[in-house]
Amino acid sequence: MRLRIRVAPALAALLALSAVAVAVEKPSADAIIAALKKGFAGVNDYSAQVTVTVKGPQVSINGMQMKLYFKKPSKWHIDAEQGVAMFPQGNFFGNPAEELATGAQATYVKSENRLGTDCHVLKISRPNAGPGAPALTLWVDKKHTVIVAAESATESAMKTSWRYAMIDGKYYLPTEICADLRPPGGANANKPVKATIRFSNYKVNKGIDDKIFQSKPQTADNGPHLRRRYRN
Amino acid sequence: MAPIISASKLTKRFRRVLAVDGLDLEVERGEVFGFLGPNGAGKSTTLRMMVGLIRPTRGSVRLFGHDVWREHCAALRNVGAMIESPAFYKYLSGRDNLRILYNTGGNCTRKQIDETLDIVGLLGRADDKVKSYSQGMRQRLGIGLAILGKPDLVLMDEPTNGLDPQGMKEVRDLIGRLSRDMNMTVFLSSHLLHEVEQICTRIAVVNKGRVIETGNVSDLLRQSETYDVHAHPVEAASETILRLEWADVEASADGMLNVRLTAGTPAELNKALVEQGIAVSALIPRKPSLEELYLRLMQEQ
Amino acid sequence: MIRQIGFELYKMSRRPRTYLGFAAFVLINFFVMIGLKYGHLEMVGTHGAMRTGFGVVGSPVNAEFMSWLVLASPLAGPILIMFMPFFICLVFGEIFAGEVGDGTLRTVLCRPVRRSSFFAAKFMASLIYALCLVGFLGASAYVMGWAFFGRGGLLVGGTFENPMIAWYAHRPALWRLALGYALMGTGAVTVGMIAFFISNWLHNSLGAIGGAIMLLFTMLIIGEIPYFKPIKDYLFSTHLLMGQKAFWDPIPWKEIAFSIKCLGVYVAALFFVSLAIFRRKDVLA
Repeated sequence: MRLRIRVAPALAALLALSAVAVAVEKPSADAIIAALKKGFAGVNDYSAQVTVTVKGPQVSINGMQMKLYFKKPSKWHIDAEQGVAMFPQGNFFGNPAEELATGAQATYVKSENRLGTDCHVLKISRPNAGPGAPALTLWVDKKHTVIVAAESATESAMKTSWRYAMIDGKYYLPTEICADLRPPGGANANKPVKATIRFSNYKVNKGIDDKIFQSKPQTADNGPHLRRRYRN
Repeated sequence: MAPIISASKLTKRFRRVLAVDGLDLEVERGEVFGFLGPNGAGKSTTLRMMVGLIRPTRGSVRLFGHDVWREHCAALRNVGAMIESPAFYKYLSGRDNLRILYNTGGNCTRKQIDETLDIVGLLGRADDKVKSYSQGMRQRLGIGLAILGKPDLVLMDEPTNGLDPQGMKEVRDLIGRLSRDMNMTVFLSSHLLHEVEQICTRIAVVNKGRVIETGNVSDLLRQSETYDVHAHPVEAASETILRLEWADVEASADGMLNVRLTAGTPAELNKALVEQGIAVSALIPRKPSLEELYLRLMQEQ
Repeated sequence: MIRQIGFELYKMSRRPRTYLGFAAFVLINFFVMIGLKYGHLEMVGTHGAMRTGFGVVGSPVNAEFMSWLVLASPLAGPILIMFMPFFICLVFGEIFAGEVGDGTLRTVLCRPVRRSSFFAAKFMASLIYALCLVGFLGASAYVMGWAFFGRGGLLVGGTFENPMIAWYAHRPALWRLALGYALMGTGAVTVGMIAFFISNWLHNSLGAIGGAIMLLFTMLIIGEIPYFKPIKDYLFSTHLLMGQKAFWDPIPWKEIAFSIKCLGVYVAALFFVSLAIFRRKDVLA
């Protein structure tokens, strides 16, 4: 009787200590997701020079340049600097965490160094994306809470990675996004398609006139006077 | 001094047709040389071989000592030529034609071109397109091209073709001046025998690709000279002349005897007749024309 | 020789037929421009396909695109197979036969000029003309495109042989266009040489023009017959469209080198055989 009474508090203390230890070593996946979604919280607007390169068996885009404008909450505008701008569809220009949408269930997997950065590794399942929607693995920068890499277990086995830089000493924004996927079927099955989007010359929170988002996308006008007269 | 033109066993066969057959010919510097023959005799073919348009089957032709086919540029450096009807770029002016055609292988100034155009009477039309020229004007332009740059040798094929009588006379006078005043050697082919007789110093008569007669015009004509002899009795006179080895005789319808002396003189003929008691009332020299000589030669062929 | 080439070019410049090709290409480029400007996406329908999977802003229609369109797009087929060879042969085929017919060959060869120099000068003048015509096609397309649409990068639609869609920035686009037109020029010169050869041999300009075009079409047909597949790569017609390869990524340099060698052999063979004939022939006209 005296032994059972002495062991029980010890065991309880041990359990409590373990819980605390776990709580300290393994952050909450949901908390990480929430932090991700806050995303570029301090960024109200920005413009950047974007260069797109895509290499694949049936596509080759070599350094296509465009000017990107963003203004909260979700205004986007692209100017083609060389006549036309083509960019892979998808939310490459925004906070990648927004792709996760609601209903995503995150599970913390482990810590890992990815691309020279200490990361949390999360597994995301998205039942709302449809039955059988494959899981998504995210590598999240521990320090800045931004997505460093993502891999999707789809048939195209898409892998995406982000590089960031500190802009104006305050804003941690992407400088490069690389996507690598292999089409599952067709004549070019399993041949890799690599897309690289580079961001440079950021101007953050300098104020962008709303008129830009209302105007037609501008194209480069290097032609002589005659061209201006006959423009659409 | 070496001849300016020297053809040796010159032969040209076109498949089965032997156009020129072992032709030998020499032309000396300063001569005005006439090249005569019927159609198809090989005159044009010979001329074309002389300027390198046609390759000889055998033999050779040299101009200034240079083989025309092997040393084309050296052979033709001081040669002007007009072969058959002169051809020009119809869409260019007369002046442009001379400039381009002459300077292909030569060098002449605008002043020289203008002088030449003046000589041939085309200076006033120099800037008009050749397609607006008459036949005679093109002929003049061809002559102009041939004499441009004052070559040492001029080859002409029918130079007065298409010209009016005034033009013909001017060309004849020009050819004479070329030889006399500019010391050019002229080789011309022509059907106009009276013209050749007037301007040429030497001739060659060609038939079936061969030279059948060549020599100085005056010598040839003198050799062909005949005498009309009025003698009585005619039969005795004829027999007497027939016995002479150096005379040929033909009787004419009007009772006259036409005598050709292959040797001897008219005085010796007269003496021979008189010694036989034949009365000679007239001994008239008759110089044949080149045409008559030519026709006689053709008949003999 | 340079002076002789100058004379040939001068003579060429004084003939109205020399300008037919240039006038035709101005017209072609003009109508292409109208179609691009007012026909909008119908003219660039091939580009609709590329919009799948890509967001697109702006228009690919610009000076570079127009130059590419008349060189390497499916629209370029009739230009490269019919128009260009015809106008090239019009000059190459007449250059000898015309002089024979007019009698001027006789006049020229009476001058102290070497036949090989005269021949080479004619060839060089024809070559310069062919390259000028090809260059004019591209330059006029570029200038018209610049005037009406501006300049920029080049978006290249896929072809049957190479379905790749590609985009090149302004400078790379320019040198690829230059390369494409240079390759097109090689093909044009080859077709022209056939007319040149026939012109020298038969002394008939119509025969030379018609003969060269007929040979081109015959080779094209032979190249499509499966039985003749082993020799297809050695037919000159197979390489007429090699200008398209300047826009592949990566550029198939080995294939281009083979095409150039193949066409080079044709040009050299036709040149030397023609020269041999010309040096020995009797000028009877």
